[in-house]
Amino acid sequence: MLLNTLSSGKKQKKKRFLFYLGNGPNPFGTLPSEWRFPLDPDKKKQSLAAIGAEAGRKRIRRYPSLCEHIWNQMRFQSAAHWLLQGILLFGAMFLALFLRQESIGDLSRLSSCSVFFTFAGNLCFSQTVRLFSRHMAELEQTLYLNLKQMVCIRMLEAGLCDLVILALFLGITGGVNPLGIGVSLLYMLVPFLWSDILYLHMLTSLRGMLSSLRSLLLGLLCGAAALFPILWDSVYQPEYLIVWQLLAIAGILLLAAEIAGLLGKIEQGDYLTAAPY
Amino acid sequence: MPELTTDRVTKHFKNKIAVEQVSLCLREGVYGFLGANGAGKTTLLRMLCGVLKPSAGEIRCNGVPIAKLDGDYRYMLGYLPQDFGYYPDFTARRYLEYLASCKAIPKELAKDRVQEMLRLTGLEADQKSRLKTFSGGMLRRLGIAQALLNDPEILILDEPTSGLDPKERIRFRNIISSLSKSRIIVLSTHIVSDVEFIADEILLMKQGRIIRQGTVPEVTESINGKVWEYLASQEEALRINETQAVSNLKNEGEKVRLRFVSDNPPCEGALPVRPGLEDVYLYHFEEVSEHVEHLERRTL
Amino acid sequence: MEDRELIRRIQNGQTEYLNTIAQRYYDDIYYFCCYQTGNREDSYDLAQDTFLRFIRYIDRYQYRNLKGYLLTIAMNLCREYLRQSAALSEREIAPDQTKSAAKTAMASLKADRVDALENAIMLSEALMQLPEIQREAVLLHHFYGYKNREIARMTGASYSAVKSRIRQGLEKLSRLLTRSDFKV
Repeated sequence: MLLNTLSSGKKQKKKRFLFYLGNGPNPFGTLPSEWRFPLDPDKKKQSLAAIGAEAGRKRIRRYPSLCEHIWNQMRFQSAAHWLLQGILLFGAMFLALFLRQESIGDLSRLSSCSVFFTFAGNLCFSQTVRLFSRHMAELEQTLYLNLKQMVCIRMLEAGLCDLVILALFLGITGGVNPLGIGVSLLYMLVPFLWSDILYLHMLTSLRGMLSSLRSLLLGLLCGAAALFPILWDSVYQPEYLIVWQLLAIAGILLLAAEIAGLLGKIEQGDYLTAAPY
Repeated sequence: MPELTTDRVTKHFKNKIAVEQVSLCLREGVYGFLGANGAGKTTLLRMLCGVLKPSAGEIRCNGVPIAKLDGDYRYMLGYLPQDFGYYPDFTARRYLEYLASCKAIPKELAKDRVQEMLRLTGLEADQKSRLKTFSGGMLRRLGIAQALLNDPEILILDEPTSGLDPKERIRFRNIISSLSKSRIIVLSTHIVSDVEFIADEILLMKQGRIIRQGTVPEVTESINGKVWEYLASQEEALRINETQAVSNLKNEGEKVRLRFVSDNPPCEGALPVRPGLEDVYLYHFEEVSEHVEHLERRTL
Repeated sequence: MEDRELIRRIQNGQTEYLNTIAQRYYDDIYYFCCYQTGNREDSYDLAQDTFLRFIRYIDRYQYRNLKGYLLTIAMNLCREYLRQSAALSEREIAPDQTKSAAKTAMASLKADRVDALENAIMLSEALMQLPEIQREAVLLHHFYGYKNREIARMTGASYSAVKSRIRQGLEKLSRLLTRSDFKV
């Protein structure tokens, strides 16, 4: 009925539109104005106002990636922390170079690497303790990146640092050691593991009494546990290898349990709040 | 708009019940938790912000348990602990920037927010000083600044005014009232004047329970007829003070205006007056200690 | 300001730029809803809901093609709308509001706008004769200029399905529009 009133030009227009339809994707990306409905400006304004109101209420929720979190944590580490890491790394390099001398026996090479590695590990670890200092823990547990995640990030960082040192040492001792890389790894890892367990356990049970300096000293003390194998040369004999293996497995399990326990304690909260009420 | 509910939340430590069967529903507004030390305020607030897990009961935000919301809940939370920790070697600015990064505030925005919070709390001039040089009041203000950094929808402040001088207290009250609505603000205190004028709702806490809850007029109404005043001469005042628990006394020329909070008229001629929030507090909390003091005085 | 920069600023907390996006794309979204549903009145709501939904999801949105993303949201809303109104019209046959509204609107328009309105109504009516999925594809391809591959991604259909939908839709549309007895 409406079409009855249309002018004769209509047919032409239709054709134009069809021609336009036949030409693949619309190059303008929008409908030509002669084919549009008129848009009611008042209703558009109303719609836009409603959208604007929602935009005003909107709070943007951000989801930083793990990398971003790690970077942020590193950004706020103290200069002393980086200095310590630097010293450790350089120390490891110098020790490695020194131990390349022919005159040093395989066993002493192995044991000195093992001791250094353990000490380095504990020093890295002591940085994690900073997180528990001065009642900061309670506040940090309520942040988006909470204490539990922070501890994990710090441990990851310490672990990476250890790994670099370990790789460095294995490169030296493994190459010349007749027993091969696997056994060298075992000899280094076991003292490290057990001293770490001891250290972590003492840190968590003595929390509150520890300043960062004291925890550092405690770390050195626990590192001394790694000196035991040196006292008995015979422990490096092949027949004791099975003992080392068992100790390594037990150590890994215990360390995992210890870390899980620590994270569980943080989660539960009682541990973070010094005074219960 | 968040809604925070606690469903029969209970927390006990080895030998003591700190919070018992607290059921609340918090919507937008300022909630003032009033109670003596050890009433369980801090424990309740710690549970509200997820630091402590309740021994029984559940805390939900918009119907979802907060333990399940986890990061999403913490994202909208601002918390000032009672024992407020800090890294002594950080400057105020660096400290706030550090916390902003942990609160997942984007870097550019964080800069503005830190500046704004420093200004709001009046720490702009000290932003480059190390925290170990800060006074107690300054640290407290810094704590308030960090709690507000992420413009939290749920703001929990545990004893925010402790260590603040009177001027700083007023400033704090102004900050809280200036915050835009549409958020839950929970603050605990044992100082009545901190919350009397800014709280939309007062919650009196005693021995781990909420014993009274409502707006200031509602709460004061509960002890209507239990507050008395009496205008006495100096000698008379001394004599009454010997035998009665006087909650307040004010010199008025030659005479002394005595104020009492008690169920029965304390002396002949005492007239009932309109109770204030301070009286409610005294009625519920100072009763015991006043009484002990009074006994002691008598034995002396 | 480019879309990418707008999104970056919004995701950094400057939510006021959401308004810029709404102003920029409101018309496009409105017309899409209009031709997809054939209801000019409800399309204001649909366009509004598109932006509201966009605001809800903006936090996790990764910038790619903003207009395409908005159109995808609009498309989903239109699908819901059509499903609901289909369920509704089974129970009662609603009078064609579009037509009567168009008539009253026409009375108050100037002559040159009348022409555009006639065209639009004709096109809209013809489009409404197409099955929903063909209509979507034709609209996105011929009106909004999206390539077959992009439409496949937006609609979740396969490339070949999109291609045949566009072809079939276009054929039917041509048939309808060239038929001399096509009546509104």
